Amino acid sequence: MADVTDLSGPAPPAYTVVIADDHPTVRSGIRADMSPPLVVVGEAGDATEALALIDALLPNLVVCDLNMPEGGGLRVVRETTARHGDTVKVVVFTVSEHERDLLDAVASGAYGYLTKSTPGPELHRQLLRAIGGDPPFAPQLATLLLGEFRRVARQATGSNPLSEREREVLNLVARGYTYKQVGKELFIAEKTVENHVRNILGKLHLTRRAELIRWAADHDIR
Amino acid sequence: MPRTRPSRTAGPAATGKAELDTMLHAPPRPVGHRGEVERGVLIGLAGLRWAAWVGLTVVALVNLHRDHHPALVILVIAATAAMTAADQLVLVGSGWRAALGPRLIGTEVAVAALVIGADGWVHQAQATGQTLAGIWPLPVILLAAVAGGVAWGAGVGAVLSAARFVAIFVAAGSAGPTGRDLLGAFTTGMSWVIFGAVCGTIIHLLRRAQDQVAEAEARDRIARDLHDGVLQTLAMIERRSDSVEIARLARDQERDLRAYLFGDRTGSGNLPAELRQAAARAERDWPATSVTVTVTDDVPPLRPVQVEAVVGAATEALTNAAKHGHAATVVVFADIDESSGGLFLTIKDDGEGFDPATIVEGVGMTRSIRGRVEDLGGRVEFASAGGDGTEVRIALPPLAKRRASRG
Repeated sequence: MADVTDLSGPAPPAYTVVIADDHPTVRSGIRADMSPPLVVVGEAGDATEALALIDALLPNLVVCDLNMPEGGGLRVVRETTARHGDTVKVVVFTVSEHERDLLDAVASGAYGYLTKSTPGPELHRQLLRAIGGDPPFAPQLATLLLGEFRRVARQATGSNPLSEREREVLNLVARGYTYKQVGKELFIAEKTVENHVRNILGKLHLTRRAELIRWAADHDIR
Repeated sequence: MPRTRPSRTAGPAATGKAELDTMLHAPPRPVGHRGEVERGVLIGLAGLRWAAWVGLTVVALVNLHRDHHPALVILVIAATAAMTAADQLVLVGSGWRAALGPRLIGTEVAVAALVIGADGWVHQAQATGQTLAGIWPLPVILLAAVAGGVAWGAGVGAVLSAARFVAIFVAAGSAGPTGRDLLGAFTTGMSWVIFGAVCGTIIHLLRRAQDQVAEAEARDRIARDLHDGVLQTLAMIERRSDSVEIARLARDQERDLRAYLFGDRTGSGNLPAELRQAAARAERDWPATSVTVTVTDDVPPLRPVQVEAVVGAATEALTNAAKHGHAATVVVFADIDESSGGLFLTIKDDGEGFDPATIVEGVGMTRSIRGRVEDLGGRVEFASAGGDGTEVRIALPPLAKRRASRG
């Protein structure tokens, strides 16, 4: 929020955040961690409520649980991405590190993923970075992706959809390297690393979609 | 499900038709709600019944020429075959519980009594020492025990031993049975009663175990339903707490709960579970350091010795990262080494790091890690990860090629 006494310049940017989680404790926990420039503008307890809030408020960021009534985080991610594209970024905030739902969420356009045990200041930092275009991308997700693309390679196409370089990036992120460290290790710029990650997520989206279509065709749906 | 137990237990041979009647007219007993135990026993019993029938038939046919009433012996063979087949038909269908109903069991007992009686009347059991009945009564007694527990098992045993006595008296005619025959019948009769009682007891215990399993499953379901809330709360405490100690406590509890709910088995050479345990131990010992363990599904199979060595090495690396590197976060990552098919494991911290060029190989930590891994034909690398922090890289050759790639 802009300081009223500061009339000399434009108000510092504020980023709006909607919190979607069916546990009030979790919501108040996240709210307590938010401080300018992150401003919580709404809280939702289920997917329907979340989607209504998102449509009405168009926040910069949605911090969204996976297990929620009325379709869960997955529905929030799908419908938000479909309606608002990249303007509203949904970050999945979950207790689980293993769920397939998580991959589906990321494939459906979730901007990033953080575990609920992420400490407050770290959460704040990661969300800010997400707004700046840098998806929070925990080692666990990179590990899941490694396995997922191997599975795709084994089953569908016979070749890994990822390039050699993308696999290297993914491998290093899974091992806990920051983008900066990945860049150093591979002698590329940090920005290039971010691009690789974006491409990896794009490919995940494509392979999941292709798989869904194939699955639907195999099962005679439409 | 509470099971009403018979208030009356059967006495030894002092029971007869009255006993059988009361048993047959007793209200249908509740059978275990899923009946897995019962059905399992019945299916196992089917084999035993055919074996008993084959034994009966062989004895009957071999001795047919000296039997008094060969036609009746053939009838016995047919009746027992029909009984066995009928029983099996009932068992195959969805109404298999009827096999435990009073009607079928009553028929069973009657047929068994007939077979035992035939030993005295039509078959020269005493002359050849081979009885038609043989093991035929045993499946019947077992069936009764499954249906009605100790009382039915022992009761049917007693009824059949009574039939045995009758048979002996019939066979002996006016001369009366010899003491030896009586003793033999008494021993057999007692063993049937005891067999019935023991079977009843075992079935009872099995049912109880089954109920306990069902109960445990129900508890598990409830736990899973609850877990979401509790895990979330613990994660929140972990995140929000200003006290390092409370945060650590919450994290410990979260890990324990997770391990319990998601069945992380330990101590069985399960690499992911053991790495997580090592991580939890490190976090307990070094509260300022948080450890993330992440493992792909493609980790190759390992022998317990290998798991032990690798987890030991990882523990050393974690200690080093926390104690000497003052790392805030450590990531332990395990995957398949795609080029060799072996294990690839890294322990990376964001600590103070070191210059790999100056590392002294005599230092306990590195020597210990190297020793554990190289003893198994693996390789260890210490690297400065991207300029800050340390990464320990461990590679183990795949199981089959372990010796070949050594050195």
